Amino acid sequence: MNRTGRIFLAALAGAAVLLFPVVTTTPYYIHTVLMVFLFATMGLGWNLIGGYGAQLSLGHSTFFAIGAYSAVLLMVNYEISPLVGGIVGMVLACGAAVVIGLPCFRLRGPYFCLATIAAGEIARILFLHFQEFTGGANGVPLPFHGDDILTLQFSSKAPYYYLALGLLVAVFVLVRWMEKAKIGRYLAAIREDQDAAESLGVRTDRVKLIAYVLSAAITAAAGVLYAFTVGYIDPDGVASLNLSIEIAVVVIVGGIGTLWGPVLGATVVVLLTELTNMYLGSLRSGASLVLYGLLLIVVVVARPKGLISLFDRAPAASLPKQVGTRVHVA
Amino acid sequence: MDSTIILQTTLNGLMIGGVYALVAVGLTLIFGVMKIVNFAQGEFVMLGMYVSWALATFVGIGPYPGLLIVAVIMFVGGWLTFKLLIIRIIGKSDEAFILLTLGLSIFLQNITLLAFGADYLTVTTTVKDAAIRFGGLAISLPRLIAFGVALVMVAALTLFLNRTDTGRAMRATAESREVATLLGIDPVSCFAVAFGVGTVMAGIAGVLLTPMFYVYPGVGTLFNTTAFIVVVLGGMGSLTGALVGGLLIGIVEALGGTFVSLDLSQLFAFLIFLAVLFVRPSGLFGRSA
Amino acid sequence: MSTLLKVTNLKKSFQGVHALKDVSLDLAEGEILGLIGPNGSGKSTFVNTIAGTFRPDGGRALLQDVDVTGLPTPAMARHGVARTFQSSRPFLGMTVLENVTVAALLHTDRPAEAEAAARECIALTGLADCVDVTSANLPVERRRRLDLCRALALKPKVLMLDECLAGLNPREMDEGLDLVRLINRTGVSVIFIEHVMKAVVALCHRVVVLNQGELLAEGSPQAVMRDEKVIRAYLGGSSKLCSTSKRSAPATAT
Repeated sequence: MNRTGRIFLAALAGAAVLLFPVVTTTPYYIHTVLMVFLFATMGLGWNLIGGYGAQLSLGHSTFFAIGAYSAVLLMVNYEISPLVGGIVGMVLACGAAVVIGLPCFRLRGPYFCLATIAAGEIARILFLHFQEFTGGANGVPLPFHGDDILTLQFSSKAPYYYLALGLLVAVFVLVRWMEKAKIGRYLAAIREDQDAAESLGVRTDRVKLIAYVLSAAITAAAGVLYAFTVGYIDPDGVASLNLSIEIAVVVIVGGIGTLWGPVLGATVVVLLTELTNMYLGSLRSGASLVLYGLLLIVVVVARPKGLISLFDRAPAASLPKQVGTRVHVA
Repeated sequence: MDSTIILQTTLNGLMIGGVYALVAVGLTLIFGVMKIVNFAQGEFVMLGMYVSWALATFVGIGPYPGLLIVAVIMFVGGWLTFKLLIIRIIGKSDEAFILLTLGLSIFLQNITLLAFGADYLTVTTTVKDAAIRFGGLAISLPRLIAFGVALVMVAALTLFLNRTDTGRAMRATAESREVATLLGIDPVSCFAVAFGVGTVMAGIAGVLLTPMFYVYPGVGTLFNTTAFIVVVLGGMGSLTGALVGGLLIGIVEALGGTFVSLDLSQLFAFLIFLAVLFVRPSGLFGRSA
Repeated sequence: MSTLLKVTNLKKSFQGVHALKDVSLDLAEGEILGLIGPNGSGKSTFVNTIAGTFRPDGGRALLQDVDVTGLPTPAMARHGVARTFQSSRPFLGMTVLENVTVAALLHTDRPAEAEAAARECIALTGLADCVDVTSANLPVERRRRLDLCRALALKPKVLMLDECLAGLNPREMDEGLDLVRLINRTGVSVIFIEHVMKAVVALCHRVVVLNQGELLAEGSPQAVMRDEKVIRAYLGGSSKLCSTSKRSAPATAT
């Protein structure tokens, strides 16, 4: 495809995304695409540490929940705008990331992954336990006070749709910049060979921590938006291991360590889940998750670079002819 | 505080800790030999429970007489999982193993949900409500049996690793894959045995749990996270560590659940886990990194 | 010549085995110091302990009178101590330019600046024709050059080369020696570990011999080669000296 063609297609896709809530009035469809945006955003955030930094996190729901609960509780109990509460939540999420990341990034092996699971479970147990404050298992409903940007409350889905789209675009631009920036290059080096990276002066624990903290902040922001979109949060919904896994799976299915992977993965995974729930959900619960597990297995075994690798075109530059043939060395 | 309650709670914790130890021993064996974390270990416990339930319900073989049958079925299942899936990603990153077994865990849990529904199933045995009493304390018989069998299994596994050629080959592989290969050991077949035996341990734990736990698709997740904590606490790859760690976590959860708050009982295990990561990541019995 | 790196009484043991017993040596500014010894004599342990891979059990390392003992690897690189690994370790998924840029980012936060600096190093080390080649596709000789190039991009004061010529044929080895000389002339002091004695003799200003974690001899390459103790250590320890001497003599360096 030539350049004009690609620009034309991109413009078409952009217009479709922008006009979607105008064309359709079914809230369910708008909500589904909105969830694609949110998962794509979280996937981009997760990718910073899980993909570019190759530190597998299965505890990102911790940050999602911290963001969601901070904004909701501050508004319900103290009437603080979620625009402020959301920032508080993001800061708290960053703090949690430092606490988890500091001891783990000094270690090699699966410790970080296991610690993130533990952190997620601790968050869930605490949100369940402190009922007076968090509503426990019953969760916190958000009473509706009428349309207001300051309270992030709207009677229609469309404003949330555009907010989620805006967040996605902002995070996408940030991650694209980071890929090319110093931190992105350092993360890539860490992913390839941590010892070699350190020998080149890369302070790997610090670089990973920065990526992890940013990743936490992005996830918390998505959590805030989710809470106000849905108007209700509970520990099993926003602080579950399943949510953490889903965030990771979105990226792995789409293409780990790539810019478009999380976007593609979110589209595939969210739509697949919604479709199976729509057609098979009435039959038995669990059908979508069976597919989910299968998808993960198949991708890991057959397509470790994710679905995005189906679109790979340009072959990598190879050695000039006169230099010689490939030699494999230990 | 009443010392009888403390003793009784500790005893209960110790008994359930035996089962934790059994699940964790399987996990730590797989980690020790293959250097991978099996995220489907809890689902193998769950499958062991369902097989045991099916044997009792459809064939009329109770959990304890059916133990050996479940063990054989689980070994075959573990071996097949290895041959069909795990073997395809040997030599790839740790992340690939974690993600593959994670996918397997999600798949197994939900295919069970599709097949059997979310209902809580129970297996009745003659010993279900029996208990041994002494000096004001009581131990329910299923817990005692679970504890006893768990200890015997751990001892048997230790003997197997120390006294048989296969076991020694596995230990050599755990020590260094390269050296083992030089000694003429095929690491991949050691991996297969380790994975199979690890699965059996989980399955047996499942059988021992059926008389005292509800059987349902999500039951494995309870044991998954606990087993990770136990394995890290004990030192990754250490059998003794898994045993002691399992018993410790059992006791901590029981005491925390009784004297602080029942819904916080798991919290203490997680806090111990994080403390270990901060202070001594090699665990109680692990070699320092 | 003033002393650049001063190592005194360096000790390191692994589970009771003394890999380095009490090693003291100086590296002068602008010097190429050969570090030789039989297999297991502690050469790589020395490099790894200075570079921060291992923490020393005792002893001191002073870099221009600054105490750098036991600093972690990245800090050593920042202080100007660079190293290459015994087996070549490029970032396989990256191109040559990307590889070297990672190193060049030590001195700037701007990728564009780092890339420009990286290109200079690439040109200097003779890799200009494969700037955009993914390093997994490089033959061994190019990988060795890339190792040197990356280290050079750190603008180090001290460069420790751990068998950087391993796997090369005699002609490539000569080119490698030229490259090390070139790097040395840009003002980098070199610690050069090598089994091939011809290379050591041709390159090094001074040679230090390690045996069983101890300093055995020190002096000019020619003097050290004639030293009775050194010959005995090699015959007793490993046959490397004999086997390498059988190799075809490399053509004279240009």
